[in-house]
Amino acid sequence: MVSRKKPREAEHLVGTPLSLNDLEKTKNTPAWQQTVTDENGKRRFHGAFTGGWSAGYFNSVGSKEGWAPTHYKSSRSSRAEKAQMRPEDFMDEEDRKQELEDGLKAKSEFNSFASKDKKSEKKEETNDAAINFGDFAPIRDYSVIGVKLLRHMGWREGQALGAKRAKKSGPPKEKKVYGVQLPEGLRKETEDDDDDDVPAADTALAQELVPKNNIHGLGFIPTNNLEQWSQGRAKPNGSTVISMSSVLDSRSGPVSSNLGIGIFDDREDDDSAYGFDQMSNYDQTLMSESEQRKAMTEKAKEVKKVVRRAVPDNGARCSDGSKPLEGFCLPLRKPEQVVLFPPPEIPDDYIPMCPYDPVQRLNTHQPQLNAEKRGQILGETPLPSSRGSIISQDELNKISQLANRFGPPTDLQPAITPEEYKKRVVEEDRINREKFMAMQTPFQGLRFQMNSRFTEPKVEDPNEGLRELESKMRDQKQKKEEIDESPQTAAATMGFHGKLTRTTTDFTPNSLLCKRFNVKDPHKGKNPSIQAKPEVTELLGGTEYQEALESAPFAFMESGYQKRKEDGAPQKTYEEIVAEEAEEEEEEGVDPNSQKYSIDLFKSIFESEDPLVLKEKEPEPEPEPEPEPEPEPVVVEMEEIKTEPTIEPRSEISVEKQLQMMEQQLPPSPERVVPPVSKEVAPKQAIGPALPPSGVKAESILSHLRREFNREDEEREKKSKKRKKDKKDKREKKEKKDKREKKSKKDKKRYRDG
Amino acid sequence: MTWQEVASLPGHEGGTHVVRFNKNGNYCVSGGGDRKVTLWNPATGKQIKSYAGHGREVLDLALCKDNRMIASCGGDKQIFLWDVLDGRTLRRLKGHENRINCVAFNDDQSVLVSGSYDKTIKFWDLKSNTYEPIQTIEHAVDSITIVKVYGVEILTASVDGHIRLYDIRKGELETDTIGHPVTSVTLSHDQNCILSSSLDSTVRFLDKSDGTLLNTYKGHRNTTWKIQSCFSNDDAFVFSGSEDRHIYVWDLVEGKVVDRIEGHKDTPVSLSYHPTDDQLLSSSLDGTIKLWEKR
Repeated sequence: MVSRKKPREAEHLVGTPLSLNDLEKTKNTPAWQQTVTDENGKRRFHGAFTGGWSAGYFNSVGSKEGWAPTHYKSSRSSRAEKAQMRPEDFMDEEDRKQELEDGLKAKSEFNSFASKDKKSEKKEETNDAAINFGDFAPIRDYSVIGVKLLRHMGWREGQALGAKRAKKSGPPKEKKVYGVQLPEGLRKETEDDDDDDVPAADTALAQELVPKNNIHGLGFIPTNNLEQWSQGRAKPNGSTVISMSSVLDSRSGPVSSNLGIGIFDDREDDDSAYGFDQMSNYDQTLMSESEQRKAMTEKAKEVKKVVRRAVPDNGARCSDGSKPLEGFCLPLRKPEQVVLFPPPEIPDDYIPMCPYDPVQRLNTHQPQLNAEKRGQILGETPLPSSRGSIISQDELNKISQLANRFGPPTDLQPAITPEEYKKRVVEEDRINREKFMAMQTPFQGLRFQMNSRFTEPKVEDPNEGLRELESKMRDQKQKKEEIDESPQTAAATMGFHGKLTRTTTDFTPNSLLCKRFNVKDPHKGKNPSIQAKPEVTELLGGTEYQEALESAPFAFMESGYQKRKEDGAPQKTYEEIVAEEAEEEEEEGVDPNSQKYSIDLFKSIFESEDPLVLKEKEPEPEPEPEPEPEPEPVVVEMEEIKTEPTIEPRSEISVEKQLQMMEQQLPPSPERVVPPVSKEVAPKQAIGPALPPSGVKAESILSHLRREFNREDEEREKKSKKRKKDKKDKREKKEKKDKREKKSKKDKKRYRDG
Repeated sequence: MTWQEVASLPGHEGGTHVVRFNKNGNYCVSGGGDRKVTLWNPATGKQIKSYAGHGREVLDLALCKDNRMIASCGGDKQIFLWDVLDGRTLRRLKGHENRINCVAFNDDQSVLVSGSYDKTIKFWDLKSNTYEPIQTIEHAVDSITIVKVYGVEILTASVDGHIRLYDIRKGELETDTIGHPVTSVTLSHDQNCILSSSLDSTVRFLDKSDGTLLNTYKGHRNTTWKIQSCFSNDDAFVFSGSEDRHIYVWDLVEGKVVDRIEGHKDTPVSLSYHPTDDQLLSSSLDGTIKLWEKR
């Protein structure tokens, strides 16, 4: 108790102490009426779960409804403008006020060129460090813990890591600013060197970005190494070059490690060759480390000079008129233009084959030597021939014959001329192409099916149509030539019509077509030599597939197939139609051919017999049974049948009659029989849309295409002519006008003078 | 022997491409550039009915024997089947890839044959409910100009300069070469001879059985348009339009020009001879249809 009243001195207070008022407030109000507000007095946390995110209602958006979706409307006449979001759209009112005060700026994390803070700004101004081009990457991930730690330790961007060097003696007289130079007024004139920690300059590499205009590999400089090699030493330009002496010195280690170990390298300490030794142990350059550093800084200075020259605001503008980005400058010299050369034109007589000339080879052909002959030339004693002893001469001949049958003849063929060879190559090429085309044709149906399912992407190319037309024309021309070449055409043009101009080939009508024309399928049972067009299903083994399915022992398969059949596509195949109709006819008990037989045939068979018997015996010849059997004599029925062979003539009369009735109902037309020779009829005025040109030309597709082609050309010409004429007219008009004006002026002058 | 104008029908705007007598010659049907098919009574000059539905010009017509249906085709790549009496469209057949130049019914109107600029001939089934062609023939290498059905034989001609006769019963194709684009073919009424017009301004009379040339008819001019030729109903005369706006009449046997019928203001492209009377219907690119009678 006592301790409560007198808190110990060691006690610490953590958090914000609550005032009594606050406590009472919260005590009296129920939980759902308690609200949390932010520092601006606005309510935080709303929604079903009041611990929710504090956006929306009353907070960041000014309306009660929160973010109302914008009304999007766009029509052909008034296109909707692309909504361009400004940074202000995403800002609260307070932030906006802030922005008005000191303007919108990017955070230092995202602006590597702008000064980070006042301290670093100052430092940068005075710092002599070369630019680190890595800084040009505008956004970097600064959330990395290492970076954060480094920052806490005093590191800043652009500064090199490592041990600090002592500041150079002799401060530079002219201060060099790198990056964005502040305007004169704002710049702090801190002449005193508060910088004692100059970073190691060697990490801040100065780089110059040079566009790559050559065709060498990346980073390859073709000439400089050569020169060095030839002189036997490297130039002191700071590049790391293996010195000549180190390469040539056989005692030095790195040589072997560089070039590998040969099999004759008989060394006991092979291990040392495999990487235990390090290149850094050896002096590879002619410069010492300090010299190198010196060269590096010199280079950095050089670049800096260049940049410094460019950076001051000398009114340089980019091509679009804007200022160059912060930290960038316009190039002092223009980048070289890359010259592109057009590909070489392929000559017309080019054959895509190796220019192998067999004639030459044959002519300069050396006598073929085998082992025996060579032996003879060398004067060796011939080895005992195993072949000759075992196989007789006859058998040898047989073998050679067999070999000839399978391979090329062993005898060399007589020499062929280059023309013949060329011809042969072209011919082979043609034959191969034809074979290829022939192979393709059976799949055209399939390809068509596939093409109908997929569409090709349409690339908007204005020349596409023309190119297509051209290729079509070429094809047509070829075809036309083929036609023209045919002997039939030759005979026809010479007037020998008859056997020479007639060709008879097989034609396979569809089975359904035969049925519709009431003829037997001429090729049924036969194997027609020429199919009208191979069916795709046949090519794919469709019939076999179906047969296999139907005869499959698996019940589920069969039932599935049946079901598919029953469900059926709305379009039946012709075979199915034929089969169905045949079934229907069978059900009706009518011979499908019964309609063809004339009644005379029936008469000749049955007339001699008793009419009553006939009635019993004769099958109903009509396909449709009479709705009401009439109790009339048989003879009469016979006559009825005679007068009613088919349905059509009856309906013909009816149609004709109805037409007559229609005609009578029509009002008398004013244009009745026009008296002959009424030639001067005024041309009718066209009403409505323009009609297509009259008449159908019986022109070939080729000539049509050609005409279209010419028409386009003509139109183009016409247009250009018209344009020229217009220009000319304008010019003439202008000249006339000028003349007139001059004249009037002269007149006026004269009038004034006189 | 002359043919004189008996009647003139206003025809179609934009040229009348086709005119056909019906089977007994009481009526005629025409189609033309105004995308309509029209039924006329040529004797009275009355227009009985008009069938509109085509999207482009009508190029050919076929009447079925019982007068119930008209088939028409044209530049819109479609075939329309019209009910003559109420003008309904019974069927609309699509499948050709280019304008359809010709149509024909078979004898019992169960099959429709069509030939197109896309080099194909298609057979359409009118009995079943399929709207796909039964068969497509792709023998020709150029536009098909005319298709005719005579029983089980189908006679076609193409711009590639060939006349093709398909015999369905025999399963044979007989190709006769003319050497020039053929615009029209007709069988004589005894079905033993073929009459063909081609763009070398010649009408040829060929023997159907072996393709020998029996006669040629010249004098007219036909180098660009698809002009039809026809026989008189007794096969005594041969008629053909000409690009000099006349209709030429030749004696079949002698091959001499008998008459040059004058009256059209543009090329007469379609001719149809009355099945029984000595009357000739002609339609011209000037749009008019004229009826001529032998005097």
